[in-house]
Amino acid sequence: MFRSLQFQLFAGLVVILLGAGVTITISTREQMRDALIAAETRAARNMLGQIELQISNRYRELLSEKLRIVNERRDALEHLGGFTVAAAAAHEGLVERGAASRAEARALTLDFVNAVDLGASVEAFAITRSGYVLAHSDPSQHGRDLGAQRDIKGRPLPEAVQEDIELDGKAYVLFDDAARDGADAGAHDADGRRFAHFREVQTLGLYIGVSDRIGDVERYVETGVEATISTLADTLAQVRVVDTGFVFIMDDTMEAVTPPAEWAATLLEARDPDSGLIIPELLSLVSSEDAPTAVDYALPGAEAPVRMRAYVSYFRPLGWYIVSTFPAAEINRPANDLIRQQSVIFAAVLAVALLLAWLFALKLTGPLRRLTGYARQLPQQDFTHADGPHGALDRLADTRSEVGGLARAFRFMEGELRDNIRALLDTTRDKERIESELNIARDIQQGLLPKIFPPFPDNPQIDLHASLTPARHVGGDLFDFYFLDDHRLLIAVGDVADKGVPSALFMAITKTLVKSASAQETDPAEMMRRVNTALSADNPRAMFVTLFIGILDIRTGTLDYVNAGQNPPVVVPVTGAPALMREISGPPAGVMEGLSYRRLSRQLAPGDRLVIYTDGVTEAMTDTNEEYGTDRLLSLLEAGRGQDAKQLVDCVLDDVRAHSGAAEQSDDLTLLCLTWQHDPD
Amino acid sequence: MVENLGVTHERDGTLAVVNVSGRIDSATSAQFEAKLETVFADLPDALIIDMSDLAYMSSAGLRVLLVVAKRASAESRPLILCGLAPAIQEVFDISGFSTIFELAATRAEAKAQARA
Repeated sequence: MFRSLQFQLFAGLVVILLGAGVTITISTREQMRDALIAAETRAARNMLGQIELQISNRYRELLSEKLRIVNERRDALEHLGGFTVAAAAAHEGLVERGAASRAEARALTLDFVNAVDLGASVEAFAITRSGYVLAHSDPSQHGRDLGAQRDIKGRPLPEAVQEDIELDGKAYVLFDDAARDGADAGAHDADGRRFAHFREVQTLGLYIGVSDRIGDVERYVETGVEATISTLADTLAQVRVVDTGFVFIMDDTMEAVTPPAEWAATLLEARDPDSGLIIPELLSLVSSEDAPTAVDYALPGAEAPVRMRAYVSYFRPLGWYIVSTFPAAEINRPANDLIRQQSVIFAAVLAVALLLAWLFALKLTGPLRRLTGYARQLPQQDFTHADGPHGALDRLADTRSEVGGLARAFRFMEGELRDNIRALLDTTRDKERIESELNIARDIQQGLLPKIFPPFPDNPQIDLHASLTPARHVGGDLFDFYFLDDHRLLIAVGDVADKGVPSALFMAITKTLVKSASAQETDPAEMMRRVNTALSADNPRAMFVTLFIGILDIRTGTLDYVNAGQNPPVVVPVTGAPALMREISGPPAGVMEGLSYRRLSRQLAPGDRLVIYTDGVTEAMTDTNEEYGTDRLLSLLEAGRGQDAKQLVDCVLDDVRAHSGAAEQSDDLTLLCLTWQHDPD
Repeated sequence: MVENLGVTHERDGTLAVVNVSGRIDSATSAQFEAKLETVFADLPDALIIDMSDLAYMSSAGLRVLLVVAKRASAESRPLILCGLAPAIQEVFDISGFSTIFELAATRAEAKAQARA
């Protein structure tokens, strides 16, 4: 299972996917974390900027509203001042026209000022150049000396008024009239600040002033600021920095303008363990007006201090520190969340990819499995029949992939197998046919030879046995024996050069020729001459046969014979050692036309034994090419004197076979043994 | 199976000398015959077959010699065999081939005979 190609492909894809995923996650993780932290930081700073902007806008609005109100009031005061001065001018005119004295006119003006009611908090008054109050719309102020009163810039009031009038013809002075002890002063608030418009009535030596309380304007701004704070407090309570972080505002006195989140309520009093400073102080120290400044601190908690980060911004007009702060650990949270989310997505993608990979591996190895199945059932095919279509395999072979190549190779191999097996079968059939023909030829050849032993059971004079063992199916050896008449026995042993089918044909011819020659001639030499002439006549392959033809007269034991190149026969005399009959009559038959052969003769004594053999006996080889040899044959014949012809033949053949051992029989092997006895009669 | 037959062919002037070694039997006779065929491609004045190194010759070998002898005779070129080992000489004697082949003891003698 684990070694299968499918699993390996699958595992490979898993490893690649995991590797890619993990590499991407790790490589992007830090970047992502930094980016997210930067984004959070930016968000915190931006929020701070937004809040600051909001505050500053609101404050600017308040200021401009205040300015508008102040201008309105000034215009009103100017108008009222003009009105009062007009009255004074009229009185002045009386003096100039001489209609009234200066004192009268002055009294008239003062009376007018005393009587005038400009409404609300607006007061009219007339003072001497030194600041003594001659007339006042508020009678309680009569006789008051404003010479010691200083304006908001610290100048003595009369001087300030004179300075401005000299410059501009009119004066605006802001002063705090806190020293004034009026019943109405405490009614509203302790604020005694007033804004006054002064004109000079030269002739009468007076400054005519119109003043109004401006505390309400200031109050208006304060109320606005309070409303802003209240709105801010509500808004900021909703604001969450990162997760549990918050924004709060404190003022120069380290008091909360809007409170910190409940869980960090101790922040305003707690001390940062690292710097040893009270946290608000630490925050105020690092603040700047230009941009929010970051600072880390530790907020002592119930168990362990919480590491915090803060961005602090200072809003100078209100003396506010706007602080955005959150637990430092939380800034990593979005990054961690994203990574977790990414991991989940990656796992899901991986799961899908694995499923696809499995299917892919299955698809990729499917053809291989089909090929395996095909190869498995290949041996069951009948290769003797023509190739048929293979369906799935043919479709595979049409694809261009490596598997297609393999399939084509399979198809090719199968085709070749079919061809080869057909060829092999054809060859085998041919071989079998030849084999069977050779077997028939062998039977025919064996049929040519005498095969009934003992051949002359009724004749006690002849003990004859012969054996022929071809080296192949058929051979070139021959033997034959038959009575030419009542007392003349012909024996023939021959050996055609070479062996196999050509020799066998030549052997058959030779045997026939001997037979016919023996019918025509009585002299074996003549018989041999005839055989030679016939064989030589048309013999392109120069086939020849070594041939022994002997004629034994069983009455006398005289053996007339010719030996045409045949191995010298052995005579085993009753008395004396076995001896070779070395004399020859001529070359083998078939060698040359027109040869004549010398007739030889041998007188046998009763009991003498004649052994004729082909070179298959004496030249039988061991597998190390050691010949059996004539000497061994002779000693075996000597030892086998007591045996009859059949026993002796079998004995020699056994010995030859024992000598050859495992070696292939190299030549046809023929042995004929004849023992002659005297006629008992 | 070791190489049983070695046949080399050299020329001494117009004489062709074939040196044959090893064994000539049914298995190698065809090879022997083929080799000798090539000698006749460039017809020599005489052909000497030196059999000094020949260990064994069966009747199949004799047949090839006979074929060669007939061919040489047809071309009127003498064929001389020389250096027959005793065992082979015996084969020649037994089979009567000694009487139909021109034999020499040594190669030198064979050459002398050929040029005579």
